[in-house]
Amino acid sequence: MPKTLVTLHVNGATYEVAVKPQDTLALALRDGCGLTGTKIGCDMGTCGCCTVLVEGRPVLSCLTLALEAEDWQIETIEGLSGAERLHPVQEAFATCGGSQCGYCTPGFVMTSVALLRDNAAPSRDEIKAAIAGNLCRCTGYAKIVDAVEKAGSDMRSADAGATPPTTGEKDDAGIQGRRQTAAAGR
Amino acid sequence: MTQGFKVVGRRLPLVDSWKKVTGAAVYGDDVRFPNTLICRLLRSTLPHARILRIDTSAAEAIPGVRAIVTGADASARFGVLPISQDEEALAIEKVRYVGDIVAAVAADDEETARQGVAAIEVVYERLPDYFDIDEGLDPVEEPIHAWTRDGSNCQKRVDQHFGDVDAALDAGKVKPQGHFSFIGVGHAFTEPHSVTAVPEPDGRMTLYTPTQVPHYVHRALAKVLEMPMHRIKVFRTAVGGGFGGKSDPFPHEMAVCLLARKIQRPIRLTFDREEIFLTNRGRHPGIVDVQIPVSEDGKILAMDVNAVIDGGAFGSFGVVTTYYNGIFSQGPYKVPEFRYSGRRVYTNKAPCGAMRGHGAVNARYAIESVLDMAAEELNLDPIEMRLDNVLEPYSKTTNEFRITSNGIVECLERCRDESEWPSKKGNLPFGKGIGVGCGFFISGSALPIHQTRTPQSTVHLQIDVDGGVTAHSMGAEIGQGSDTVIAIAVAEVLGLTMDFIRVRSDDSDTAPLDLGAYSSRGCFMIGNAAREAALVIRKKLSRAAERLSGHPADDFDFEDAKLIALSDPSIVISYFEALTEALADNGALIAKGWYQSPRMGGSFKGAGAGLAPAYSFNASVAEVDVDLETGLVTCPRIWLAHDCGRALNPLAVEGQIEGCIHMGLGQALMEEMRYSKGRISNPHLLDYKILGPFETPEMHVLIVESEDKEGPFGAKESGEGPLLPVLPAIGNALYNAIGYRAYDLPIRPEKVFAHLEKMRKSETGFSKTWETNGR
Amino acid sequence: MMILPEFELLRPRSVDEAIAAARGASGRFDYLAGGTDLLCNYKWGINTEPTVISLRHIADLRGRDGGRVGGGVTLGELERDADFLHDYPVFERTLDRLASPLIRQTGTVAGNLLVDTRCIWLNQSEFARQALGNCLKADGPECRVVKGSTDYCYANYSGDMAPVFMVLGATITLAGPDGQRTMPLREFFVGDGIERFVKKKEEIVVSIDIPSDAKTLRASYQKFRVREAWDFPELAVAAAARMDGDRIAELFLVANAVSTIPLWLDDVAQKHVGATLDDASIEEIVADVMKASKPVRATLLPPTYRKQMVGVMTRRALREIRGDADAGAQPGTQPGTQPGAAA
Repeated sequence: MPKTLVTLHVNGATYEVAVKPQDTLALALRDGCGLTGTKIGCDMGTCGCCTVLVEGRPVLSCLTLALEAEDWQIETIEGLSGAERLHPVQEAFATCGGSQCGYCTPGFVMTSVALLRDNAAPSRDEIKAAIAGNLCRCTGYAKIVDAVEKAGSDMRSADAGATPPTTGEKDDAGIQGRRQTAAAGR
Repeated sequence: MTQGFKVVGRRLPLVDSWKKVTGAAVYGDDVRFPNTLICRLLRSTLPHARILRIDTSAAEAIPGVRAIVTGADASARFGVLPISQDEEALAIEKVRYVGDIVAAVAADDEETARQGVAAIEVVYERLPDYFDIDEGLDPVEEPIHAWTRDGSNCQKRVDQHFGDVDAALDAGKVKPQGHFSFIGVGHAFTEPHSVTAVPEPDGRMTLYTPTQVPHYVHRALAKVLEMPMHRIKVFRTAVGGGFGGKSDPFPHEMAVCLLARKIQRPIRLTFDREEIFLTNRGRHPGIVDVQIPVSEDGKILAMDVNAVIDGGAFGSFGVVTTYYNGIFSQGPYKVPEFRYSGRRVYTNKAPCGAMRGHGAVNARYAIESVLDMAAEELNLDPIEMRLDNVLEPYSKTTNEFRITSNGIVECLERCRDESEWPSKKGNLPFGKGIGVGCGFFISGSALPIHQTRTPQSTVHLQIDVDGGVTAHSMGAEIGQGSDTVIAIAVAEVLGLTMDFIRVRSDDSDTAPLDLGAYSSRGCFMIGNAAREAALVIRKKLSRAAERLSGHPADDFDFEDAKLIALSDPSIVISYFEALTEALADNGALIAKGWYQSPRMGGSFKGAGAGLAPAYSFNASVAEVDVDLETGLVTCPRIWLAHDCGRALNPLAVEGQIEGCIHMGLGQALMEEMRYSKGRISNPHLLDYKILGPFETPEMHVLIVESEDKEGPFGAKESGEGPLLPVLPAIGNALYNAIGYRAYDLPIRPEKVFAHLEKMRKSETGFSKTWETNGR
Repeated sequence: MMILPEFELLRPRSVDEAIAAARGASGRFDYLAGGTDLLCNYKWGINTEPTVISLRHIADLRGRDGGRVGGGVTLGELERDADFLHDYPVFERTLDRLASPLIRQTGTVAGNLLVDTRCIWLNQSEFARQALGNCLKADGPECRVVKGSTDYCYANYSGDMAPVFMVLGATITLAGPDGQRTMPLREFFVGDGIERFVKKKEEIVVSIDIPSDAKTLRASYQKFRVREAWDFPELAVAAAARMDGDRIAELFLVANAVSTIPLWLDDVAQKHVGATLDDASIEEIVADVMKASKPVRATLLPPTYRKQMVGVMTRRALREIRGDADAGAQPGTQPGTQPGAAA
């Protein structure tokens, strides 16, 4: 099957990628655009490692055909960081321990970014509902929920003009306090 | 509890997390070289068959198929353990399980490689299939491996007896026993195995692989490729989860190198999810029989443990697993008399190996369940009874494990108090329960797999004019934070912030030997090696400070990138001043630190297994809710106290413990590798169910610090041990909730439902008639 | 890694174009909507076709107007559609536990209605099917669930939307080469795990229409599976009723994921019209729904247990309709409560 040139709009840039009709968006991003931050874990839509944003919504790129994505605005993990610092969600995943082996992290980060755009102050239950399409085998999700909560709060502070905390450790009491109050049950 | 530490004990992000949150980390499948061919593997669809003929000619004729290798291309067998070198890069005479690799095809792209695989013709002669461990101890027509003794499929027999267990069984006031069976579970890491072999222009071979054990891969490659080790480089890519599932040298790693050598082009192979399940090395299925005589006042008199485990088709870590299913039974308790009989049986199924809590998890479930039976029979509180039996710190077990620091009492007490156990135990309504379990685990195996006198861990440090400290180690960072441990140890000793430290732990050409990420050895051994190396540098900088200030070198403290005289804080030399002086007429500062376990243990057969320079201890209390209409069991909250000696980074320790809870709960409640006539029938993440966020309980992590005398800054392991108490805490809580003892895992809703139906129809109905007052 | 088989991808912009494309493909094609079902099966090499016609770019299939839901509306769009959920609140719980939030972002309403039947023997890779033995639905001579069945596939219907639409009395509108046709959704599903429904291959699901009087029905969808996300239903029950005082004036019942199609239990429902929704009557309905459900071993949990759970889910659905605050009996039911014995 001959390849077709497809124009992908990724992270504000335009990529011309030669793809076969059956190539997935995940494959086109990784092999065509060289954006290997998007991961393939199960290739069947279960693990969420391949999540990218399409028109702002989290989408499984392993179950999306590259040719279908022609007119869409796509965001990947590589497009999140600003000129000087990381996206608050990326920052929080690191500082809250939301990433261990890190393979699921790009997917979780993308899902979380989409959530926080919709809902700036999600509850822990709302966070869990939003990330329930992403699998993590390392963290038991607790620190991922911590991270999304923290990122939301940092982004709200930033919007309110306060100085968001910079890279580095957080105060012990703050995290412990949050963890104590975290009702993680169903 | 930082006790004057500046870096140790702080909640720090993992040093490699910045790469991971930005997508910059390079995992197996992110390795890209020009001119790379894609590999696919032909795997056996038969469980046991002799290979009569392999015809690759049709495949070779396909345009774009560039090279094919089969068993004829590599005759040397390998395996992670020197005592069980039973694996082949590609099946040589016969296939031993559905998934065994028969041929490897390199082609221009994935599609062509698949076409090539499909075009290979293999003629097999079927052999009898052996799936059942029960038949594994007797002679069979065609043993899976020729070298098993007396014609059976039994690979390993362990028999140990300390004291007189039969006399203790006679003496016990109660002597509960249980027959437990366990289905296999898998690591289910998110990153598929993915490797790239690169034939270097100078004739060397480089393998990029997400492995936990670069050194063992290195050794196996040398053996299979018949190349000296120095002509091979193993590069550990970022590892997307291991949990023991990437701690073997694998046939596919050998196969891509064989292809790369044959065609002299880079070869990349990335598994699909199913192949991960076929490669397996997950927790052994098996049966564990336990009997524990206990005196009237609740003292454990003996343990009698019998385990038969299902190894699948190859050895992997299985000889060790056979020991671990029994010999870890004793801790954290004093067990005066002890007997263990263990058997590992080959079957025509995917090979089992090491998985988080290696070998100890299933037996621990059995023992802690039987202990609860004893407590119930004696009308004792299960926590108090356990407290009456624990090992003392700095003591010895009956099988001569050297116990050092031991925080088990604090673990049990904190779980008891924080869970409000006394008010809950015996007072929860039908359908709700609370249970306890304990565990202990090695902080690294004292006895290395290859018994040489080379240290188990070495770390090199290098500092040049930029002031940054480069640490070289082959300690495998797999997300558990071993790179961060190195950075913390170095930063602490040198009084630097974390950003000064850069850890290079991926390249066998530049890194000194380390045995890898298994047996929970990293923190203890690499941490100690890194600390030792940093102390050497510290001495060099102190001497430079002495030359600059005239103040004695041994009186300097290191803090905030400064060297401050302890006896006269007005004497301050900046780190860079000291460094510049130290570099003068000398060049880069280089230092080495290493760790080797002290000699220890008994002199009986098998005494080396399970020895560790330190042991972690832990306890867990869990609550369960049983849906009385459906039998579905959930865990709303769990407490887990873990004695990790000292938390070098509490954020990371919590993360390890939470991960252990996730995995332990999964095995207790829903994870299982299902087989249909030896074929895995759920090799994907929809039907192999790991917990999602909705199934995750409220987790109360309690860090206990016993400050081990030999651990780096007092630290011990925290990556595996915390899994052990989770399963029995759930099982005991379930019994407490509805009087149902789960003798097999996972706890299936249909079985719980059947129990509930029986109760519903009984005279007492849904009322608790057991464990009602707890004491 | 996994790859999709070779196919030609067509991307029509209108329903007519799509149907024309389908006719040109001589029956050897599949329509593609969200892709979350079809592409999984394709990756496993299950019944693949040389042509794939994407319906994603057809504006006419999108949008919702009152009770009319376009076939191409994504489950995520519907989940965020506050007006729709206000009118038909039963969908709130149906949607927020359907598959996973990521699947719902692209999965469509029509795609969920038409979700392919599933079976532990079928939903496997080509390699695994070869090792395990092929089944009737994919290249094999006989069904693996019911041995000896060479002309009837027992794969399980696992969509969550259809049973809810059915009990609300929805109709389905199909567009095909011969124009459009509309029928009650309850008549749409027929046959075994291969046949599945009356839709001709070329026909496209244009819309689902819920009658406006369904707004006054009290409905419940109770689904049973091991995990709260991802898992397809092991079984489920949809129920809707219109009450006349304390008596049932109208009753609609579907037992779902226990057969090759969602089971429309009209006889059972009719039998109990006029009854009250007290515990005793509920138990009678429970017994009848269980009797009508004959699950087979096509899913992970054993069929006898699934049949028992049909009873539990029916009871929970009817209790919710009755207005019980805690109909979905949360885990750890209070002491002393004795859920009625399941017949």
